[in-house]
Amino acid sequence: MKTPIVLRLVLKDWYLHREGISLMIGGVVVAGILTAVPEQVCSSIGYSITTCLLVALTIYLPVTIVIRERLAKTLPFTMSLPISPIEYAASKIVANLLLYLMPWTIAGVNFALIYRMGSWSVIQPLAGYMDLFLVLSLVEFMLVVGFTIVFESIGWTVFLTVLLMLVLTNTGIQVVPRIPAARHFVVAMGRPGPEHSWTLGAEFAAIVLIVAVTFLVQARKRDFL
Amino acid sequence: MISSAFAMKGVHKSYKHFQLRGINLELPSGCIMGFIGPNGAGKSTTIRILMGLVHHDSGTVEVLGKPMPISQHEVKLDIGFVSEDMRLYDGATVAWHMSFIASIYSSWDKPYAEKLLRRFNLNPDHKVKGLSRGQAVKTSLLLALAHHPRLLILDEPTTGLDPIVRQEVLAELMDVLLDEERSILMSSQNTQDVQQISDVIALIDGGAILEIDEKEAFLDRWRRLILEIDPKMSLPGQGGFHTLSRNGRTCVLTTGRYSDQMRTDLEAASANLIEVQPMTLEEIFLARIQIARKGAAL
Repeated sequence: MKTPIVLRLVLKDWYLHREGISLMIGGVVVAGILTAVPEQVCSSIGYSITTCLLVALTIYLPVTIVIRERLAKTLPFTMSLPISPIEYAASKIVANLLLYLMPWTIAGVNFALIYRMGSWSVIQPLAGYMDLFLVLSLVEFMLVVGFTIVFESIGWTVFLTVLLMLVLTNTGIQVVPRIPAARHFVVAMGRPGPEHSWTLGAEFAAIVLIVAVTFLVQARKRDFL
Repeated sequence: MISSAFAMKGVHKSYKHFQLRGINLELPSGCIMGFIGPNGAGKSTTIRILMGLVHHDSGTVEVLGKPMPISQHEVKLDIGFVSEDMRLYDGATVAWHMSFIASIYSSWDKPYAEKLLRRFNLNPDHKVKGLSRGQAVKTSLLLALAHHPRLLILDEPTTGLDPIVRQEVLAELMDVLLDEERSILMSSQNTQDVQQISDVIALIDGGAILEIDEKEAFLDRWRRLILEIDPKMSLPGQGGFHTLSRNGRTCVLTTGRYSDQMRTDLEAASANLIEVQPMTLEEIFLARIQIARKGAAL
């Protein structure tokens, strides 16, 4: 895999979708500024917008950067160049991940700001889980990106995102703490300690696994149109 | 020195509703092959296999002396590809495309690219979405040619162009091709384009290669014969004749095996050969497809 080629493809994707990407990232920056306003109403709105935009970006980025390449019929052009399927997949993963990390970092800063500005009540019950939630959103994003690279379907990408973020995550938050066997672990996860570290580690391991499986499936693909 | 630009041997590819069946196709280095077939014949699938865009199920494919798709990364450095169903990036300018491709190919020749830009009368500041179909094809050709590929693969590049722009694109393409020796595979449904440009003709239908020969030999051996013959008499069996029409004693036939010996054979069979007419590539194409679809032997 040639890194300069991957980076060139990443820059290509960013350049081609610069307007939409700028709008989305700009939205998160505005949300971040709102969060920093020392009014609980503003910081709550900022927090909500940030969360919504993270979900929106989970659909928007893979659809724009991965699927539009096929829909716009530019995929045969890209794949006719001396680029391996792995370099292509790597460029899509890097282009998506780096873009997502920008609002993701802003979201992290937002949560820290909420804490510092005394608007703690907004996220008070979830405070100990914030880093776990942030990394979980990254896991879900990477899963959607990997899935989109492999299957290249808008419908399934939207379905998977909704399933992961709105159904499984929400249901998990509601249901898992109510399971007696899991309650102790869930409570311990919210405090610094081995349960917290193990969960965080498992999330990062999941990201590595998702990337590895994406490369594996991509290397076995027999059709690139 | 590689003797063939590409060689496909016994290549099979199965889809749910279509199959490529044992494709054997070889392009000698430095030659231009016209690849003709109707819609759905298998032209684009064959080309996609050559490009490594689709992997074949069985058989062997070598491009520029290297096996595909394993060596596709290396091989594509020496291929220029233009396809009817491929698009450039809408939101970017011609100049951006040139700089993007220049960053991919170390062999990109900037002065030559600029020369082609002027020759094709393209504005580098125009965005691709504002280009006409003809200008888009010319831009694709520029991008494909300016890194001096040893093999140029053109998959129906003139499809969708009006006759004037098509002639313009072809004339400019032929002009450019005089610059240096390249191997070229050009698929088309338009036999005039192929006849104008090719050294070798390959015909495909139903996922199988029907014919492959040098253009002159191909056009030489196909003839339309008008003859008078007693309806009770039969024609020499080895002539590969196919009846176009029959009216009493007068019979119009085509053959893909015409030779001087055929006159003698026909006279021996008491046939009076009235006229032997050459056929255009389009007429040959139609006749050959009809023969293949009737399941008759050539």
